[in-house]
Amino acid sequence: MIHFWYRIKVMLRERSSIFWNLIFPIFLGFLFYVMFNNIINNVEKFSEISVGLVLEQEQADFSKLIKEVEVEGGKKMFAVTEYKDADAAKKALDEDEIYGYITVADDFHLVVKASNIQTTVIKVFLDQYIQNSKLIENVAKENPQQVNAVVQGLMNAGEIEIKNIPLPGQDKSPYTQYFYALIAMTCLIASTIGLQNGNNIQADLSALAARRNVAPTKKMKQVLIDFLASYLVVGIMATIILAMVVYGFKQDFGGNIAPILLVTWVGSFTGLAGGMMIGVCLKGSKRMKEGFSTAFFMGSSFLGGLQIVTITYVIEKHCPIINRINPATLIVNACKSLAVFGDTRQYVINLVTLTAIGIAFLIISILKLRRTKYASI
Amino acid sequence: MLVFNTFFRLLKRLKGQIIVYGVVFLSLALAMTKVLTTDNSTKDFQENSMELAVINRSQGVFGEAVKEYFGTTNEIIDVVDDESAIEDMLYWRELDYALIIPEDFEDSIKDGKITKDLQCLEVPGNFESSVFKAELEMYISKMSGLMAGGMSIEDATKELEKLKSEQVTVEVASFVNEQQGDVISNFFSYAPYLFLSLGIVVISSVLIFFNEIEVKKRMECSSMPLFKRQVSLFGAIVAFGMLLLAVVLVLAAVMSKGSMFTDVRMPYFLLNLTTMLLFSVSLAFLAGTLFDKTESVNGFVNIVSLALCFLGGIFVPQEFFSEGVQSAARFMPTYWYTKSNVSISAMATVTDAFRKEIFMQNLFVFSSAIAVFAISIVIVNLKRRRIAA
Repeated sequence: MIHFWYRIKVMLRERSSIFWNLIFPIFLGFLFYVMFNNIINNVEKFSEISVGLVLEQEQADFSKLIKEVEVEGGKKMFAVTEYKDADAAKKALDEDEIYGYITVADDFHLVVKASNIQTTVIKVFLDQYIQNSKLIENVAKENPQQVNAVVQGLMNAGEIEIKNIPLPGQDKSPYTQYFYALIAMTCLIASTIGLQNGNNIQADLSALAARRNVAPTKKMKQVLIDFLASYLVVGIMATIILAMVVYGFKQDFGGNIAPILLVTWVGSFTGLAGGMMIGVCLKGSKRMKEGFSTAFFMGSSFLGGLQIVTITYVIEKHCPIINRINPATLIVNACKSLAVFGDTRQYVINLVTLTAIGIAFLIISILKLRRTKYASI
Repeated sequence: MLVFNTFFRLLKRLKGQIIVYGVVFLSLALAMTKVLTTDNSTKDFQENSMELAVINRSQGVFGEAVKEYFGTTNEIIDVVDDESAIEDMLYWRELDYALIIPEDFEDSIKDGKITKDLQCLEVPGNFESSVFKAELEMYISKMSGLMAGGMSIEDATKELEKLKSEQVTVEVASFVNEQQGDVISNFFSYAPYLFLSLGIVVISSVLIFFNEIEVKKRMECSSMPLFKRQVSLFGAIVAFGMLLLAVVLVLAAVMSKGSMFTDVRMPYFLLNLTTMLLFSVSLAFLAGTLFDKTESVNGFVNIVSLALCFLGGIFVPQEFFSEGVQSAARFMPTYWYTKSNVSISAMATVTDAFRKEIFMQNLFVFSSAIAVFAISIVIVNLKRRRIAA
């Protein structure tokens, strides 16, 4: 036991390592909180789409409709600006004052700058207006006595609902995924500490490691003590970061804090084991191994969606095996499966896979260390 | 030239680490570029498209009509009629939206009036789903109107198919550069992440050698004046920065299949990249001056590169920022780099207003580089005095 507490004391004295492993995730979480806290409000603002109107022919009905059409909550769908000619509207489009402008003459003509959700909404609105007008026009030509019934039918259709079957999970925000990726990165950043453990037991790398190898305490015992002591420290740090995210940054993960905490501890185990495997198995300088450790946690976090949230969907289309074995993706998907989908089966699959990967890393490290012998010269 | 040469000898010693970091961050930048670059030309308008499933429990005409009507602009996916299987597909984003038509849907239509509600399963928070839902409601509204006018459901679906061709003509404005959002623009938009991460790690790793106490003391005793040493060191750092820029340009040339060399936007991209590189190099110099351990540098690099890139609008578009975040982001050089990159990407003709905009934004980035470098020099002098004392 004394070795265990000494190991913890040594770790706590490496302040820079502890500092960066704690401060970096908290800082990034704060950044996400500041950036995404108001993003839902900003998305609601997008429902008022700026559009220009050039009336080459008077169409009072259309002008009134586009200015007054509303979305849910009573907000106007469009912020309409009338321009005297197409050149003025084009200038406004160029200066990003509007998403597009509609020229109203015998027919409708829409000019846009880019293909995006706002211009799609404008196009859909215009298509529906044109098709509804044409529909009533056709009925008036072929069955004029049915026009009232058709118009009544068009108005009554608003009573039909498309009911959303809610998913069992409580978390509906698409931006919580960034926090899941942050948790994943927090777990995998433990690889830097695992790397130190791997370096500190190899006699050819430092005088301290040489002394430890000739000490009476068995090497495997030392390795396991190092691992358990680091795991305790890393687990506590990950718990602090999770607490910060839940209580400081107000992300409750759909009310599944306990299972997410379990994922965090298992993820930290895998990160630690991965770092140790890098330290033990790779030949090279300390700096090069640090490079590989950084590559491991940054690369894994990137593939888990830290920088680009949609990367996992792209990977799922082209190379799904990566999503099944990448530790960061497993952590993100475990969190998501509970919080969004309420799917315990997927959660368990991800957790078991993550544990298996961590155990595999640990076994590889132990087998490599057992084989290592030093010449007596 | 001694200090200059020593810098590159140390780089050679660190080549293993440089290769590892280089491969990692270049791969991330290339992967991000690949994910975000589509093949669509901006000259043709493209409506948003989704992966849809229609579960037709009523086995009637309506379900098939919906598939045919919406199948031209969206991808219709075949799924089994099982909620947990559908949720799995939503989970893996193999599907964006699943419409469920209940068993007695068509039987419930009385006097042309649809009385039964439909159901759907969708990914929460997906804005495209809301737009599709509105389109679907309008489709049902038209069908309901036609059936109220005496048409059967089959005739109504045929009529709606004919009406589908009545659409507004959409034109992408002539001043829009069709190369906007191409592979070069997207790759250059991630260049700051590459410059910041790789530049700071490599340069400060070398500077840590120079800042070791024994080395510093020997250098102080040498005959080479401090000014000459600093200039040589800074020259070496800028030379490394230029090498990094050359690597980025070579990759861009390969990805653009050589079209970059005849692109009229290239001089402005080059200016933008160079000022960003200078800022990254100045940050690297600051990191090398402040820290004496590689673990500290790694922590600094991760915080600074991710913070600057997130706040600069490199990973999350600037249009999503709240007003408060916009105000804070304006102090970040990466924010102005991204703004310039977007403007240059969309540039069709060079105007005075465009030139002025690019010049002012790059001036801000350049000034930031000078400011950071000045702070580094102050720290260097303070440390020298502390050692001398």
